[in-house]
Amino acid sequence: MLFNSVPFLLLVLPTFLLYYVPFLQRFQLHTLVVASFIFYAYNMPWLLTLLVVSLAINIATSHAVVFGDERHRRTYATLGVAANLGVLIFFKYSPLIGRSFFPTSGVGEFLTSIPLPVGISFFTFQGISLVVDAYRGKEVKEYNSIVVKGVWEHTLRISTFIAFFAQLVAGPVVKAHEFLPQVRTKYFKGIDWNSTFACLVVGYFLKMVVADNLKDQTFWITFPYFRDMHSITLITLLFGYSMQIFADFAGYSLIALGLAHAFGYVLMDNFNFPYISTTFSEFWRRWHISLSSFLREYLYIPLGGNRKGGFHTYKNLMLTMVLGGLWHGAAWSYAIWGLFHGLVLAMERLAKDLGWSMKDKLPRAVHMLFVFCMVTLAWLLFKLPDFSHVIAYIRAIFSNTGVENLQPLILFFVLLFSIPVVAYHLIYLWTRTPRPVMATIKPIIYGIMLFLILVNSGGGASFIYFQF
Amino acid sequence: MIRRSLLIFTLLVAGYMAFIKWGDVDWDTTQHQSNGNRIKAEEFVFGKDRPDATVIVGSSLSFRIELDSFPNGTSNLGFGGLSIYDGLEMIERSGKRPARVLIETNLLFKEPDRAFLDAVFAPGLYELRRATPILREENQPSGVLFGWLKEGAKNAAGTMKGSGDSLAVSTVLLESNRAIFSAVPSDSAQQHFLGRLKEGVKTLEARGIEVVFVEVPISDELMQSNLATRSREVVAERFPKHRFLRVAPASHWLTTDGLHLEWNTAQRYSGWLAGTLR
Repeated sequence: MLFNSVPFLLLVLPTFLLYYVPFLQRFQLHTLVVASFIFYAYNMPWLLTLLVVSLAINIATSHAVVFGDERHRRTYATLGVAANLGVLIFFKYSPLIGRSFFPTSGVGEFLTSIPLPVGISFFTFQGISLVVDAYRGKEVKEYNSIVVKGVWEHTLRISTFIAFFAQLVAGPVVKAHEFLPQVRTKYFKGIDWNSTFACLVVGYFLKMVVADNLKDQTFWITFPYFRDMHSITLITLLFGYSMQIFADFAGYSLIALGLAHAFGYVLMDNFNFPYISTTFSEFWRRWHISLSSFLREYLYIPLGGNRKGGFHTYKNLMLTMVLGGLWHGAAWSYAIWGLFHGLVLAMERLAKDLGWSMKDKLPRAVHMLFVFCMVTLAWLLFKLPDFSHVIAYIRAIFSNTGVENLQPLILFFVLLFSIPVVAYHLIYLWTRTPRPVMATIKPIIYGIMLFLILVNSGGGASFIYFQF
Repeated sequence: MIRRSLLIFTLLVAGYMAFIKWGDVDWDTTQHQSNGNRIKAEEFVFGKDRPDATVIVGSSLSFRIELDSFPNGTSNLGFGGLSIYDGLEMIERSGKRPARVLIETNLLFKEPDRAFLDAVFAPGLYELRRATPILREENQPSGVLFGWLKEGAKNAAGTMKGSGDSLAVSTVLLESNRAIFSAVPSDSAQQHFLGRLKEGVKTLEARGIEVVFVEVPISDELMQSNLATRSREVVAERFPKHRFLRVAPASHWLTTDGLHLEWNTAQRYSGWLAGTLR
């Protein structure tokens, strides 16, 4: 079920009303869980079985970690993490394993036929966060309240945490220690309407007006269509795809944040104007923040992080990014994408360690442009999962300078629908020093965005991150 | 902030409604292929029902048929990237009853696009779009802006509509089309599509609509391909009593990729088709 579909509206409105009915307040978690199950099962009811099994594993292991036999805490936690990873690997990576290692056998055929359940990468990661945080609860005081003793209450809390429809299928990846302490009775008068409104309007605008319109132009980054296009068109299309992927995912995340606000929860900001980053490490502090902070907290640091210095730091960075790349999709192109980011992060770190920082030698805008160009180039691996097509695209950029196929219509619309993303980042830079005029401008901007959502939305499409 | 935003929104909606109603926006507002498909579809389903009308259903091959030479009220439901079954279902679901339907026979073995049909006929939105023209695809501000700029540029340059495609054939697409047209679907797949076509024709004829089959010219080479030959055969076998309009393969039917007629050639073919139907 898409956030911008009529069925979603028909689900969320009654849920919202029921949720805040005063005499039903003690059923708030029940209401959210039922609505989330309907949301998840809407297109493929059988998927609910998988979600319920995953919930059961996480509910049982996290409870056992805290209230089970003290001597087996570590075993329960390991089992919980392994079960989550097992589910993720089985459903997400079996086709890749089948294609890569058993291409012609019956085993390969079976593995490639396993369907990818929507949102699996997100809810299994949240399950891991739950089990690990429950285990750390003995050492970290703030994590104490994550698991409660009553089994039914624990079940409801964990089901809400993992299955909450706002973040179930495409994140943000919520951590147990951030979400569960917020579980308490919510009141209608407690809703932060301004934040809810702002998140929903900007989110729907980015998704429906910017990303959905750009997707019909960036469609041409498809083999073999791009091979005949002029270099300028190819560069513009790539730029447009960079804008689209940001608008699509940041838009989705903002809608998720807005919906969570409406139900009294605060989710982590997932994007913080990533395209103004002047370094790759800054980019990863601004892009898909919930995933990068998850990988840092639950993978990079446990691997040793930068504690052993030098080579180990670079190795840990590369490993984290390759696994992060593979998290996005079961194709080697995603691993290459992760490797690319791991490499540039490691090189950046090496330059810093050697004191070769260019930070003060070149203007900030040059750094920004360089990081943006490299990040954008790497998005080709998302759009064209076949690596040979990526090479063909890059080759065409250099060789097609003389072809006639300029496609002014594509150029016009890519640039037109990219303006909001560019403006979004520029306004952020401009308002880093307080601008009183923004109080007057903001309602005008929101009014225009609402108007464009109504009259200029693109053809509906799934969110790009649904496939992950 | 929320109240002021909603006020601005309301003013913009009212202003834009007035602009669309009285602003005489009659230029081409197409932004891309699927948007063009939606515009055509909405023009058809929200347009007046004309009992003397002719409707063309087809794929991107028919998309290029120009209606200038056809009588007023002719609609072209040739959708880029879609199939004849989208057009047939559209006629049925819209409840329209034209006098004649021309069915393109070049790409018979392609499923309809459910998402496209569902988007056009989405419950609630369909009724809203019928009542409120600013919600229709052709009135999207971005398309209107582009159409206006294009119109201005055209007037400034003094050029006519559709100055023509590049005559260079896209070898990349030609290669890919060759591959597509060399294969014929399995017998069971053919039966599936022909059953669907037969059903569609039966439904139209039950409503008193004349059905005519049309083969749009493609390159000589692809005209002789396995798929083109088989498509021709099955229409002749299954619908022997129906009119089947075909042009002789000849090199003067220029295409851009082996499949799609080049602009001036499409104009010429449209004239031939309109004349033959008269």
